[in-house]
Amino acid sequence: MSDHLILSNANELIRIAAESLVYVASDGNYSDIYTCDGEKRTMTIQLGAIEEKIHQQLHTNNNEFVRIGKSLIVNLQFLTYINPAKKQIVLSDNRTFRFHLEASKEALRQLKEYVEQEHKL
Amino acid sequence: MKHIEDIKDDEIRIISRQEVKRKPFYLRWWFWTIVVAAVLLLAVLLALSVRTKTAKSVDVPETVTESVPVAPTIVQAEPATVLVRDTVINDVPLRLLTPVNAVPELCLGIPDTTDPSLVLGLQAADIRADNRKIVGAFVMKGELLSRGMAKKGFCAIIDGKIQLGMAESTPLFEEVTEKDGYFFRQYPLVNQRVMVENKPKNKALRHAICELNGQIVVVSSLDKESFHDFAQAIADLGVDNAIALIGKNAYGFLHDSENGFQSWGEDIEMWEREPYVNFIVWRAKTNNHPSPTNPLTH
Repeated sequence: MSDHLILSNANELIRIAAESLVYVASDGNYSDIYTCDGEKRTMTIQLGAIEEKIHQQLHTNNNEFVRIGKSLIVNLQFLTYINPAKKQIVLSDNRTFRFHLEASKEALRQLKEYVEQEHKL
Repeated sequence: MKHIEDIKDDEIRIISRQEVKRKPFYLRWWFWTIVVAAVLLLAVLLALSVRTKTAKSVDVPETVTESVPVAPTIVQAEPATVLVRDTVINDVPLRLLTPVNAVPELCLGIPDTTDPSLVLGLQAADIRADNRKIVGAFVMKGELLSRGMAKKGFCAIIDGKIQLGMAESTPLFEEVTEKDGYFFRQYPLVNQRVMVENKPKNKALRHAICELNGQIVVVSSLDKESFHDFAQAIADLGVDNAIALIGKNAYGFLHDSENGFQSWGEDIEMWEREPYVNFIVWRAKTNNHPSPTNPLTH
């Protein structure tokens, strides 16, 4: 059974399968939610609140979510490239979408180390 | 809480990990230990209860309590009004308007000034000169009508309570959308008792919504003032937080119990042509309104 992330406020509700959620980017009080069908949805929810919902709701699947700095949450399932020196991270399913994102060098260095450790490289 | 702690740009935090397969709880030794202990405890309690009941075999006359119907309490709402007080701070003449027994809300369009339940109304968020839409985030009964952060000051109204502040993002914004509240942005004038400088240098009639001694008070300048002089005057007045309301020729009105209806600013017909003209108004409390204990509700 797949897990779903449910985000809701007074006006709308978004239900996203964990394996479809690629990343979430913060824009102040708003968050832009990107899914693997190329859709971008904007909600009036702060990134910290989405992080909390992911922590509460998504824990029984193969998707691993990481908060990178103040403005990104990414699904490591789609991680295809990290280059801390260039401050670059790429999320892709290698078929239909490819997102080039930017984050701090130090955060990406930590993420690279984490992925290496997890896979005992 | 751990998971909503601040995070720096050079940090990462693992939110959810891949699940590690664990034995089901009913295959674990501690589960069966707890079950056996609970059964034993239940048996002991049952035996004790049977023994106590046997000892209490004395007849006790039954007490019958008649329930007396209680008449419902009718709470009469106190009349709503606006207290008007003039003062001079640093040679800046100010008028303080304190709504009493009234609940704040935002409204889009010109409010019905003939409605005596509206005791005070002033224009809230600015209108953009190019597209005539609202400047900055604006939430009306939980519905987001405009977004953006052109000005750092904010006014959030949740459950009839006003909260003023200065921040690029605030959790109150989310709370407002969840609780059908109201939100708008304006220039911050005083933050935590400290005056805030703003860019506009021209002189004009100024209005501000302020938190003063635990009450919400609208302060207006009686002469044309610069943002700096007005903000300094209200800071010296002792307000904790304050944000600007639209000044210059903005329309405003009050229903004062002593002097009746008064209005100021430019002709209302001019503003009627603006589709996004918006007001903060105070409406007389009714018995249906929440009766908050916090004095900031005024």
